[in-house]
Amino acid sequence: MATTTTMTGAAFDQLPFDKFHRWELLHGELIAVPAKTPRHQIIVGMLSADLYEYLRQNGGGIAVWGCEYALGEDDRLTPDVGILFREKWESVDRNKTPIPLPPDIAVEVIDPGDLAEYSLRKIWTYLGSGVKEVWQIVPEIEIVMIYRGVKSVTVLDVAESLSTPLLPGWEISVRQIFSARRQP
Amino acid sequence: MSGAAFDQLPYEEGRRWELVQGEMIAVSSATLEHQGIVLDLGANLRQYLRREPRGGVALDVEFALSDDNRLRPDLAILLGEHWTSVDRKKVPIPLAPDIAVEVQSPSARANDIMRKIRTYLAAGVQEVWQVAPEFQTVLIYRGAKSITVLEIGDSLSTLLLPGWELPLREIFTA
Repeated sequence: MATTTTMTGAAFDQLPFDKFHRWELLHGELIAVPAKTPRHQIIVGMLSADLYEYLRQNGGGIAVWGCEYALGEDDRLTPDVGILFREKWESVDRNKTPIPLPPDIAVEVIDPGDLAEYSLRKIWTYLGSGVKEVWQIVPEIEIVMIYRGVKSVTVLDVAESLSTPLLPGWEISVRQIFSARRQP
Repeated sequence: MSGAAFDQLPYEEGRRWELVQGEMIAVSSATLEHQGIVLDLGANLRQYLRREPRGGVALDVEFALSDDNRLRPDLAILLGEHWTSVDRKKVPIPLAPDIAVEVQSPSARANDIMRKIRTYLAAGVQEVWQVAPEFQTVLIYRGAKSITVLEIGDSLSTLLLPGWELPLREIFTA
């Protein structure tokens, strides 16, 4: 195991910009974010575009990818996609990072390099900070897990659709989320 | 590789591989915390199964779940005929356990764990218990779509082991 580095969120915010590595801070522990695979980026890009378009049309808020959120003193997380509903979106300074409040929905796509314990801890951290839903997308076995609370997990397979009462009228088939990843 | 080819690999001290859907997966060395949890939970289950002779518990034994799957759950529970019918001098065990317990180690990949859980359930394992020491949580999978999350204030129990119950607090004191 690599040695762990711990620091406060304030110290994390002062780290110099690093061109090649991405980091997250989870309960004060510095965590390297693995480089993304093409499959990962395609899923994130496609889903972000779909959500962005939906939210733009109904004026409900914004979907952004790759933004960092300050979720607590010692938590700085960058969900693959973060959804902010209108009220929150209108209240944040769009020229500043990290965003000082939790997104309403956080989407995480699991990569081959992701450690199981961090994946779980991230979900708990999001929910604990006020995120209403966490969508965990697992390309490896083509499922989507929706966490609406520490004790509420819904598993969707490719025969089903992803939707939520938080985004009325929006829906995407799970098959479509994973369609781009199959080899020709 | 195939399960048959995997079975022919030379014996390695502290064998470090599993085969999931034909793919060899390295098993990380266990931490003290991991082994403590496995031993305590295993001993507790073994005591119960001595009192209530419904089956047996196996620690770190390899199961041939199908042609190209060879998994070694940290703990496995075999019930009824599964337990009485199995040849105790042979490995891999040629059937699926009724309960498989995986204690998550710090280096475990999220993908590997999920693939294993799915493989267990597809092979006929009735319950998979994923023990996450880092977060003092136990996730019980009773099918691909049924996940129950237990937290530190809860107790672990199952219809498969009537009368058995263990508070999570005890699991994580190791």
